[in-house]
Amino acid sequence: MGGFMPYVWVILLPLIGAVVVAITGIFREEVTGHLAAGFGIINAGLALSMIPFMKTGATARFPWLPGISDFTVVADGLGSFIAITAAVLGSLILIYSLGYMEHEHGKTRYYALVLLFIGAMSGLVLSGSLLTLYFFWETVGICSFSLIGFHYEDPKALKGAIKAFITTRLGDVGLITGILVIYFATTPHTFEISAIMENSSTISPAALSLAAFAMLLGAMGKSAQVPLHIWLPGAMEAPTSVSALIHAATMVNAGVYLVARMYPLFQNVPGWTAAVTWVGVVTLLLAALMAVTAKDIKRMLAFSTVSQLGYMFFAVGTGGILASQFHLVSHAIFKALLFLAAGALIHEAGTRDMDVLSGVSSKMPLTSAMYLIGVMGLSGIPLFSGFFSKDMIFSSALQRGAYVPLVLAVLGAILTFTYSWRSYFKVFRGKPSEVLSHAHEVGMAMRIPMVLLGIGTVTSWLTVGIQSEALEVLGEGIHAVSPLYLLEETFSSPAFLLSITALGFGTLFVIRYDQVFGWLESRAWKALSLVQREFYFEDLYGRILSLAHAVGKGFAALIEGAIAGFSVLLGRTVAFLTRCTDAMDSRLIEGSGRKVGSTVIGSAKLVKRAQTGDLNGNLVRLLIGISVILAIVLVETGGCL
Amino acid sequence: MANPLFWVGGSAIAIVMGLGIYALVSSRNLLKMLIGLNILSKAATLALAIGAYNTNDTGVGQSLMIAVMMVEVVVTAVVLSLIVNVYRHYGSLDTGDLKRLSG
Repeated sequence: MGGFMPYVWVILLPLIGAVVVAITGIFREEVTGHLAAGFGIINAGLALSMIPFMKTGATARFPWLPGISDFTVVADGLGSFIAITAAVLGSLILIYSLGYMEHEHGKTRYYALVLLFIGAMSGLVLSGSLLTLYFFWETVGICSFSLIGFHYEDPKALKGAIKAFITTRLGDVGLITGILVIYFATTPHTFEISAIMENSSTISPAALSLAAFAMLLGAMGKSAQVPLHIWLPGAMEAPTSVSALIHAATMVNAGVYLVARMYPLFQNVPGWTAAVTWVGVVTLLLAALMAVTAKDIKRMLAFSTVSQLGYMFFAVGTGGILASQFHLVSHAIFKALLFLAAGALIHEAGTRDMDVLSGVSSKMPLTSAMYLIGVMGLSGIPLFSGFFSKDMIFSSALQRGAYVPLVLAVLGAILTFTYSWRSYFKVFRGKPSEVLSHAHEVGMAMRIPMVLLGIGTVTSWLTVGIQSEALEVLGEGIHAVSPLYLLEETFSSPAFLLSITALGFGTLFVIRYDQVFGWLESRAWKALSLVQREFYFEDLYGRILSLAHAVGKGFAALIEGAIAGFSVLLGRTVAFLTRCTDAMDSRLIEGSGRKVGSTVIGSAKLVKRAQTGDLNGNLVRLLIGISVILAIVLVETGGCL
Repeated sequence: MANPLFWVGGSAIAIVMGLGIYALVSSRNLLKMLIGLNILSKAATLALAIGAYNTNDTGVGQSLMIAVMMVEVVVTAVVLSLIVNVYRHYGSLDTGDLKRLSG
């Protein structure tokens, strides 16, 4: 320990930055953006300097809660890559925000929260202790909630924020349950992840499976897996830059990170890997279907994110930790790019409705080109990062022999291709629509991050060497892969055929979209409306909530009735008791009072006769009394005083 | 007991005491009653003097006598002030008029 520890500073610096920005904002709001961007860029540099530490899994330990948990920072391959992604993307998005948020109010709040988020996200993935992980997990949740509700005058934003908060909270209950079960089931009790892995044999199978499924619930909440996915489309009310950073590139990966991190511990729990696989597959398929029918461009991207996260779950479930992490990074980059391009478009056009938008490319050529690169990454065009990562997921599933989920995943890939290309053709091609009459290309602050991310989308697969080397030390059958080997492997494996199949069918669907859609409308409108209504998840939850409301109301009425009945009973009892005491009062207390009074008066009348008022007479009687006493004393003592 | 002074002194005490008691009991004037009370206390002083002489312990006798005289003076002063107040209140010093405590 000691020396230069970028993996500690990468957590601390953004948190310090958040405080500095918040304080600066009190005096000069207009500089907060540049200040935050400065912090972001330094932080990105720090994050990149973490690369040499990853292979050894450098650890820093600070005393924290004595006897419960230290504050441990572990910079291994799994966490560091996400931390670097968060830091680098975070800095790009802070730069982008300089342009995007230029005319918005509440900049201080925005920049402080984004910096807080970047720090907390790094903290989450670099935590060596489940307790600190949970702490940062909730912190990113708060940032997400606050930024979804950034436009707090807008009831839709508030609704989205509350929906996100409640849904993820449902998952968080699972996470904290899992953490506590593990803590108490491990001997000795510990929150330290490495210590838990070492002592995993001391955990009873029942506790382990409870913890495994509880934590899976937590991961599903955070990573918006079906059926807890409903919050992510609602989260699109946030500023688009936030959607790109938090709800596409980083925070939603926390769930994937969690299952990948706990995979060595839980992989032998019966049914757990299957559950992870199927959660992923169901999610990727349903979300892709919903993305196809979405009309709002951000909503479509949100469903696409859910779907891609499903791929990552699927990869972890089939044991492809490297594949999941590889896809995580490449998805983070191309999805951030898509969001930034969409954000630039929304910034200029002022609408998100894909039915209204068309022909953007003639007005905003750079944005359009960047969106196209993002689409290529997302749909898995060969030589783009998304292609390699998706292919790796397919081949890991092939190795595991998970054929049924694999077929569904390929189906999902076809749909991914369909919705991503359709959105491109619909929005960016064709005649410019009226809403674009005042639109022109965005400024430098927004262009530079987009271009950098565009380059990243094409080249990020080259980092597979670093990533696989860093992950190799974790074991789990991960071998270091060089980019060249990856190329060779990818194009010679049977999974390549699957990718090509997906591409082929996807292209067919895009070309024949109207015919296919028309056919579906005439022959299977029920199925189509099911998809269009997003599988009635919202209605279902609405029903459940209103049912819960009704039950609660009934319960309240019951309690109210009980309280009313009790009050009446109490009143009657009190009245009865009052009457009793009344009687007691008049008969016993008053009566006895009267008796005492009359006795006193009677005896006083008797005694008062002794009071003569004659001083001399009294003196005589006094002397007689003294004489008598003296005489008695004299007689008793025999005359001797 | 064979001391002749015992008898002489004893009779003197008896006479003075008798005078004091008679004055207290017979007079109806509060001032006269106070004088009787003073005579009575003189009897007590005399008794102390004779007792001291008789027991050859004059030191104790003297100190007790001085104490009694002091008390006597104080009592006289307080009673006189009371008498003045009674006179102001009732306009009379006759005990026959002071019958408010009569039952």
